[in-house]
Amino acid sequence: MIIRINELSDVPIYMQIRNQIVMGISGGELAAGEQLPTVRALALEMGINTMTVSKAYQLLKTEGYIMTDRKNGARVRMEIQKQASIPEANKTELRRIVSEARISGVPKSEILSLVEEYYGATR
Amino acid sequence: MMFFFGLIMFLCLVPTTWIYFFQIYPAKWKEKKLVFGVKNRSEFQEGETAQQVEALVKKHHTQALGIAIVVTILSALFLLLKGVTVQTAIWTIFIMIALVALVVPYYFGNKEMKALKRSLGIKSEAGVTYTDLSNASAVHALRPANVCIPTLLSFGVVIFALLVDFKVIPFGNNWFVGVFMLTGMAAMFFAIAVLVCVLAVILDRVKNEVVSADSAINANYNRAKKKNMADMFVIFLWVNFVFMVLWMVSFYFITEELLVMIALAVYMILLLSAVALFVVREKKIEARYEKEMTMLEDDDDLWIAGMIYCNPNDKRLNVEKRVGVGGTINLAHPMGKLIYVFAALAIVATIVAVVFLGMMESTPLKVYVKDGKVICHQLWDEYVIDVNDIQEFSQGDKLSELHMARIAGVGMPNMLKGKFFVEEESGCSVFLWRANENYIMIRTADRAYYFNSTSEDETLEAARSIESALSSR
Repeated sequence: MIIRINELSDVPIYMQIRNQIVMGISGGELAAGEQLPTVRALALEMGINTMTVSKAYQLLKTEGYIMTDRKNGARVRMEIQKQASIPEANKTELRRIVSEARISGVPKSEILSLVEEYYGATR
Repeated sequence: MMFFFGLIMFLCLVPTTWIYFFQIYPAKWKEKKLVFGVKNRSEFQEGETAQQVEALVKKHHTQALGIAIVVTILSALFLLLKGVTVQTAIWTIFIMIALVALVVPYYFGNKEMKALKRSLGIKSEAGVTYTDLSNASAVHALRPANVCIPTLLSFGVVIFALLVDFKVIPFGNNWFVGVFMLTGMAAMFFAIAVLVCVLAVILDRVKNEVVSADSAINANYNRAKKKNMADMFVIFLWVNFVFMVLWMVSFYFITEELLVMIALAVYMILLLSAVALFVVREKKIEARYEKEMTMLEDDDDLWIAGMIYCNPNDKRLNVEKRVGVGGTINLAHPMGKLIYVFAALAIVATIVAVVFLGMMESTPLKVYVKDGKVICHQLWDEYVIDVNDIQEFSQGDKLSELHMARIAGVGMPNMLKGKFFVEEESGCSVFLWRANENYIMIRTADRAYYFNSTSEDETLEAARSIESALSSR
């Protein structure tokens, strides 16, 4: 799986890593139980601070996407808890995206087809 | 002798120039990943733009070809130069000028390519990096044993040389045994081995390139490149070790300086052959993966002139070079800045050393007796021997027949200065102008002094003064 990091983006790097790993899990690029690189290895490869990667992993662990232990490092969880609901923060974000698209004249069908495409692409 | 010095310089510079030329000025730019340090995009390969790039590449390729030919011709002409200082000064300055001159068309090519990119409205993606999660720090090709074995064997040669110098191992009654010349040379080549070993490990751990969305392709591509690099370093280390052994064995039979020079020339040829092999294999790898390279990490703007990496957001000190062989330093890294300052200081120091050498060669040695003291003087060096301390005094007129080996100091074709091994006696202070066959030997309680002046008359005059001072004490 390829992670794209934009150092000049407003989104913090740890959040970019977190988001893309989540997308990777959702899209099937990262399989359940798949080993992730160690914090040090990933930081070295990306040329960023180990604390940044550690923060991203910590967040993913808290959210239940990955599990970490001293012996095996980080792995994608075998069973990710299915809440079957969109968190409030994501709803607000989705609302912002839809609103912006509506203001700029994007038809509803196009938004729906995009959702269909992304949802379909993920499993 | 000096011809071989020139030959070594020639063998270093000319193949390097041509390897460099073929590396950074490829004629078939469409097949390359980079055009003058700017990522080769599909936009560059279409219609009128392709013609513009073609013209640009052709122009700078021709200029660089001209420079490479001039460097080769001048290098050949410099083989005819005479005199140590002249040769050293010209070669030192010329190597610097030649290497800078060769990248001048590249610099302008890079500038023009960046301008073309902007004119096409291609937005720079500086700051965007790609990392393959599956390969993060997992692709290595260097087997530690492959670099450790020749390095350890080289260390064994140093130990052997040390034991020879301490006369633990018999090495005949050669004059060089005990003066630590063997150990010094062996230690120097061992230091090269350690440096190569460290470099090999560092470059095996550089960031893996992301060339495709397929992790398997990325892994194979990076492994192939790292394997090629590792092989080159392993060849370097074995050549270094074999050279150390052969040099030591041959030194047992022939102790001519000429032999050292010839051996060094062969050593350079072998090392450059390893680099040439690396370049050929690198080109094959690039050609093999050319069609599978679907991803472009646009960091063109982070490379000054397409050659110097400067990214303050990158915490890495060492990154893979964009052009050429090996790695380069991130200029924005605090340690990187320090290394660049040291490199600049090294260049300045080289120029200063050449000036220093020139002064040494052109300043005559002076020997005279003043206030009951024998004084030998040149530039900032001065030996002062009290006449009352002299236990033995003699004169010689066949300096060239004296057997001398340097322990510490200066050993130039025109003069010798410092601590030397003279006629099987260690720790002698030497202050001799080689063209003058007359010399004076003085022995004090702690050491022997061999000295003369540049002028024959001055030497004889000094000898008379010492004699008269000795008789009147």
